[in-house]
Amino acid sequence: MASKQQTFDINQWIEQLKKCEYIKESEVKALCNRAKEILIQESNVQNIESPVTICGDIHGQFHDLIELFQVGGECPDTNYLFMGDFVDRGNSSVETFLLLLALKVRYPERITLIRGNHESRQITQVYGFYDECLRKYGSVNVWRYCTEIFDYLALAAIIDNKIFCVHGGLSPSIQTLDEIRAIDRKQEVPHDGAMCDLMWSDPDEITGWSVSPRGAGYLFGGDIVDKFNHQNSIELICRAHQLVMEGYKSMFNDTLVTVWSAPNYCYRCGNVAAILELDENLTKFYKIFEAAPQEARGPTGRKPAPDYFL
Amino acid sequence: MSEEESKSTDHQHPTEHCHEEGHHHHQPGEKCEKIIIKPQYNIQFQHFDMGGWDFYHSEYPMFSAKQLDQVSDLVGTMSMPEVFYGFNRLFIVNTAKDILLEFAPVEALSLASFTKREVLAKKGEQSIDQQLEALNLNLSQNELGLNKIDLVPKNIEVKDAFIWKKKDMTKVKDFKQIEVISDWTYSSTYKGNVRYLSNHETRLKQETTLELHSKGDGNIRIESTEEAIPLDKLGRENPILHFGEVFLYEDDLGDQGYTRMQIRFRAMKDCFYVLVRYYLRVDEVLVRVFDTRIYHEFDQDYIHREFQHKESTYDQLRAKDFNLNSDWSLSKTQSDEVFPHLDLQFKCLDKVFF
Ligand SMILES: [Mn+2]
Repeated sequence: MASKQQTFDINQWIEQLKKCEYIKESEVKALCNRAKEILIQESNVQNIESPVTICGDIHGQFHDLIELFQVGGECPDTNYLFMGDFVDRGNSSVETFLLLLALKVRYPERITLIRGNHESRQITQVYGFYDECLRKYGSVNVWRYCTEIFDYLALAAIIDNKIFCVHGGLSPSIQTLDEIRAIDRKQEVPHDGAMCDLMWSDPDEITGWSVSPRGAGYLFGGDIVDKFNHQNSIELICRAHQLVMEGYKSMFNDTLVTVWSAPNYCYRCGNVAAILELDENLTKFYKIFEAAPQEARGPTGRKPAPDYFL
Repeated sequence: MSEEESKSTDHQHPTEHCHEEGHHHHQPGEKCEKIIIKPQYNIQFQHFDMGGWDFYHSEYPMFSAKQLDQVSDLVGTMSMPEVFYGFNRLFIVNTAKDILLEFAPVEALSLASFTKREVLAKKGEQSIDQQLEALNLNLSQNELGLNKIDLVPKNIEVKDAFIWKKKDMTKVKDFKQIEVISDWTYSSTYKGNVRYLSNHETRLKQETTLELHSKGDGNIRIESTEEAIPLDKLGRENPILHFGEVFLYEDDLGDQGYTRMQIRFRAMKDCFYVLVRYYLRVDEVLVRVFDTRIYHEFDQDYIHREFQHKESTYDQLRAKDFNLNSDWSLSKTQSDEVFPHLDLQFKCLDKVFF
């Protein structure tokens, strides 16, 4: 290896990434090293002060992330909290995650990234990020750097001690925020246990806890949310993880809300996306946006030609 | 006016004519007076006619949460797919023969309900009226026999289920396992509904504003056959004059796989061909397909149908060197790609005479 130090030009990288141009492998490595130094300082439950704008799943829909910044305001003019699932499914997970990470390095106090169930070695091998890295860089190194960073991401956030934000939902092994703070998070997302539940569980119109009919993962009812919120003096749980046509969905008398920020999910569901703006009084304001215009993403063309299917 | 209000008025959706408030729940055994009324929508159809047949199909975005709530009771499943194309339909109609082939999302998804499956798979244990009431599927008395299903799908679980089975749930405070009344994979052996148009003119108009009028008395009967659909007549030498693709529902299965109910159809100068496909992928577990192929030559008095179930585990697919990477699992045509590699589990053919 040459002894010449990698030049660290974060502003230049942000410029490039905003144009959906990915940066060099050596630059990714340098960026990840710097990001790690920042993320390692963060608590499992990162404290955030209002005002802040909360965003749900992005899933590699890069042009829609740019649209999100247009609607919500550029970082650092607006403070952001992204609740995970930056990668997988969309075409540009690399550019999406690296842009968010570069913004984190450049404005660590202005943007918070918490971990979603897709920020995992196992899931990214099934849902596209792994193969995208391989395709764009010709090796798995970038995937390795990024998945290592995933292990350092916070598990949750709390805004003004009142709004609890997490990717999936609650866990029966967790009664208090301190119990989340006590988790050793620097690991791959496990198959079960508290850390897994925070990223995988779903609210449902049930009472108590149940295992999902799928055979894995918890469902939790409104009574569980009530108890958790009461015990931790929380007003609202804000989570992502599930697609909703309207971009957001409030449940259990407004004690829990799902925010979804990937419009026209997988480029064809026709749903709108939402971000949740909280002002300094924690007044909620949902901003709805649609997918970036087709021109922004280059030719893909719809209307299939007649298909001689059999 | 807030941003939220200004943008969420949805211009892509059909206009809603009326909206019946609330649901009416019935206790088992209680007489149902069919109070549930579907909202009416002004659905726009693409139309094509050929050989005495009319083809109407619609393509719209997914249902909203509110719209999902309106149909969930009707379907009889414990949850709804995240993506449910409630406005999408395909109608293939012959008004002279009083026959309607209807392909609709509520009807397709209903076959994920254990109760409805049971009724449609069995013969005559309940009275016809009891069966029709349990199904709540817009079937008339003389149509029940035309819409039976050939098999009941086996239940499956995600790959980590064995880990979760070992967990001691008595230690979980407030644990109360929900009763499972439907298939979480939304597996459906739906072939489309065979109906008498005359039974449904009013309903179709109410539901969609489409006005169709039967011009004759139909007599539909189904006979099983060994004869295969002549796929050789469906090549490029017989050009497609009209083509459509209608999605009924899809779901990510909570990041544990993917499922989709999709219909493709095409009309040629002398025939039409439809493929109804239920596709399921459960990551690291299995891939399942229920296909119904429907073929009709305009100068014949029957519709030729083939139903097949193909299914293989991930291990079986790996053994055949099928590449189970994300290029495949994210591909929109993943079912077509894996289809030739799946093992045939069941197949049956019939002819629908009219
Ligand atoms: Mn998720």
